[in-house]
Amino acid sequence: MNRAVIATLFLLLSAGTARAQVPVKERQFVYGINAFAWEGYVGSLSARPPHTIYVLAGHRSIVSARETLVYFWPITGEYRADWSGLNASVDGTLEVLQAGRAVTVLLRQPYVIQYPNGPDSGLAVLYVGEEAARRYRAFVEARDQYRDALARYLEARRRYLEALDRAAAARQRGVTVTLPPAPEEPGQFRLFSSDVHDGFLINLPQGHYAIRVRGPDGRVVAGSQRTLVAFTHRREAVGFTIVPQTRWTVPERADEPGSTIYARRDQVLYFQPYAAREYNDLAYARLVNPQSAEGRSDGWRWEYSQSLVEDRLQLAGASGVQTVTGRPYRVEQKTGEALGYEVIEPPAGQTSDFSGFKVQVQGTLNLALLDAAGRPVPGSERIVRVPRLGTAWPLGVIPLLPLTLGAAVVAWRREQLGRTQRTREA
Amino acid sequence: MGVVAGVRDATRIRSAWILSGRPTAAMIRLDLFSTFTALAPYAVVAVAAALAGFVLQNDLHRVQEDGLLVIGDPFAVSLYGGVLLLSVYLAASAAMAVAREREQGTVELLSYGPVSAFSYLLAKFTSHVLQYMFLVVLLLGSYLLLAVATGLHLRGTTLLAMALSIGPAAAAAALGLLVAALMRRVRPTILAVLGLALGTVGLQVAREVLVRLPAPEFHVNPVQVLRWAAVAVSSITQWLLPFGYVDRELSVMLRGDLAGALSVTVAACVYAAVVLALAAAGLDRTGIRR
Repeated sequence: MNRAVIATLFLLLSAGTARAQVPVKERQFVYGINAFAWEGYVGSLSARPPHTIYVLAGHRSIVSARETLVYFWPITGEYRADWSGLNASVDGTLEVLQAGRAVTVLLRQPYVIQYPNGPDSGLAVLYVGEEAARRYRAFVEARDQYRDALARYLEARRRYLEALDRAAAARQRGVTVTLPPAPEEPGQFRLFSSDVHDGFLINLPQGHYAIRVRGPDGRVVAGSQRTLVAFTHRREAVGFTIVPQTRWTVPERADEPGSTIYARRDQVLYFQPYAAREYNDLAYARLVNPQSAEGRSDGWRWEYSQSLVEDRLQLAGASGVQTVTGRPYRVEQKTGEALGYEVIEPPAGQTSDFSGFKVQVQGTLNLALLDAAGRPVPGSERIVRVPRLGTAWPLGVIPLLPLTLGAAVVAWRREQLGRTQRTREA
Repeated sequence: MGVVAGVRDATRIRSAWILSGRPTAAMIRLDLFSTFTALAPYAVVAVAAALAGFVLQNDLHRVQEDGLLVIGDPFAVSLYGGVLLLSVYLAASAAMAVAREREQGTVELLSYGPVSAFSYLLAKFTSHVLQYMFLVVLLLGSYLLLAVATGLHLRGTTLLAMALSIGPAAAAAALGLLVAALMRRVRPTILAVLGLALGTVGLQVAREVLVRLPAPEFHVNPVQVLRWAAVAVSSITQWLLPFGYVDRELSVMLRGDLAGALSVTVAACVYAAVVLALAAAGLDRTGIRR
């Protein structure tokens, strides 16, 4: 009896689990978004229930009207699209309204996003219209050429290895054989491209907008209304990523122009400068992922737009003013029993791990990035200070000073009162 | 004619000063003397300086251990804690002074002379604002010593923020007077002032914690409801209670926005004036007797 109950319970539980693993999919109108961000174009989804779409003002982003199967994925708490199940383009034009008035009407156009240095590199380029088709064709041709070149290289390498084997065998027989030249490997193919899709190209000035799709029949497509926020940066500056030699895996960021850098004396720091822009935290978090639960509406964050390591860094300290140039550096694990690593300039032919400006901290330093004309780049000035790391007892004594003063005043007052009382009694 | 009118005006001002100003000035002097010769204000500054010492020691430890520390202002947290502590002390001290004198019958005694409820409260208010200035100078001295001892930089914005914190502190003193004017006894008055201060700070902390918790925009969940409630209530209390002015003034000034900090200080001063007038009306209404 008990076994039967347990078996039934098990079956019921497993049935429930099986049901939970298959999310309910709903056919919906959605916007596929390819928003410009400084780390590259970020793809996201705006499904129902509708939420605000954020884009960077003055930069080109793509919004595509689609029909797909939407399901809720409880593990991440996000709505997702089953593009392989359904990915239908929705005909019509995109109306952009501001304060109830139409700002612009956008037509669908083909686009492609390409990454010249590979999909993981930040640099992404958006091509639209005829240029998109041309760029995509060029990508396919280049990819085919690379594939053919790679096949030829592999074949040549196979022959070369066979020739090496034959040469080794001949040498064993005492015959001298001239080795064929080794085949040259084709250069790495980094270019990456998306397929050609169609969407609406959005490039709006800062502001709050409403968007909707109007179908060919003249009616607004149901579920296509969204709020769109085009936001921009509050401040621009030069941000620094600072890599301490003693723990290069944990760099610190000095983005705020008013921030001070405190370091131990003799500490070696590597400064990596970036052009930085300060954005609203919530807006940028929702730009990267419109369904994100992160971000604060009253918070701000710095985003790096490009590396400035090609410039020069000016250091002004007690020993005078000097200029440092950015160099590539390599991190090498120390051999032997002692753990650790050292940062060195890479020997010729070896790759580097990072590039930056090497600064040895000896005392207070004023540093600033210099542009090509030798002028300090605005917002790049920082101060490096060396705090006193000696004894901690003054920090305990100083708070006692006001108390001592108070005690002295109280004692004086009591003395005064006592004297007055004695005078009266006398 | 003009000369005669001028002489009449001068005589009127002089007589008004003799009738009302002199007693007020005397009360200010007396209050200042009694507070400066008590240990409590010095102890509050010592606690604020100890807090700064603890925070700075933590920063130095990070530099020692990690070799690197990037920080906007090492004194920012200490300054916020210190100014808040002084403001709460000032509100409690002002409230206690009035409630105690009322309980002891001193206020009633004063009212038989040329002292109105307003001039009495104005004297208390002025003496406490002057007391705050003195305490801020003491705290600044402690910060300067700490800066020298640690090598951590005390920025100009910190000094300006301390100077401008007089506005929020005046608002805190005015609130303490209002509470004392509305409540007769010492203990409930002190508890009310401390409750308002702790409530404001607690709400602020809750708000900061809740806005950091992730909550999707399109899901109604408990975090979102609590966050909304905390933001809504704190957005009211930050204008209704003076301790919110401390937070706003310091955060704006430490960001380097002098105009914004000045506007917050002016708003705090207006708040203090309005609350002081309300306190005088309240004292008139509740009566001067024990």
